[in-house]
Amino acid sequence: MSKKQNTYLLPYPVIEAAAGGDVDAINAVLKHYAGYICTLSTRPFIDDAGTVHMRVDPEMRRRLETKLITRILKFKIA
Amino acid sequence: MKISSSDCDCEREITIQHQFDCVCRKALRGEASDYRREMARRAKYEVTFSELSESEMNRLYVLDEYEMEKRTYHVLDFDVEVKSELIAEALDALPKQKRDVILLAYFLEMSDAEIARKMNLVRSTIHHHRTSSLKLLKNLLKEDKNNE
Repeated sequence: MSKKQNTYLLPYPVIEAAAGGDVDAINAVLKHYAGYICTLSTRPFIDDAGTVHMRVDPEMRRRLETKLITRILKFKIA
Repeated sequence: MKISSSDCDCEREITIQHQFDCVCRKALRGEASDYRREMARRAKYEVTFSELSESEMNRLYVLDEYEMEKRTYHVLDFDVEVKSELIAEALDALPKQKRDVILLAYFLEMSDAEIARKMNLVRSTIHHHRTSSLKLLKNLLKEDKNNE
């Protein structure tokens, strides 16, 4: 059970350090959620020819990353 | 067998791991839907410049007109407005009749014959006035330029 959890949960020390404001830990968290962020910020783009492409919106991705960082720093370990 | 205290600690850590994961995902999901809503709202009002028609483009700016910037001449029963100060100055230097001819011919775009009828003169007189005053104007403007 714990093995399965480790694949999608961040290790506790990283969470602790990130909440404390450690830069490397925050980067690790960002990297951990990079895939999810990309998924969320993928949206259809219509090019000149009228075809629809699913692309990552870079502006949206940056906004999500910023939001994640601010949320990490607000996180209180109970 | 694990010791109960460390087991408890481990469970606490796992709980926090889950909490953290949940908090992060919620924040991201919320922000993403915020962004999408914002985009949808903007899309309702935003138009690209290339899609604007010319009349809509022209409504985007206004050029103020001030009385000071133009000079008004009264010719026959018309009011002629001259906007360029340089030309107005040169026009002032011309005798009245020549100025009237120039104003009628170039600002009101009347033909020599029309002007002649209005001013009770012969067409060739008007033509002469027009060409000679053009020459005069040319010299005046040239002098102005040299003086600068």
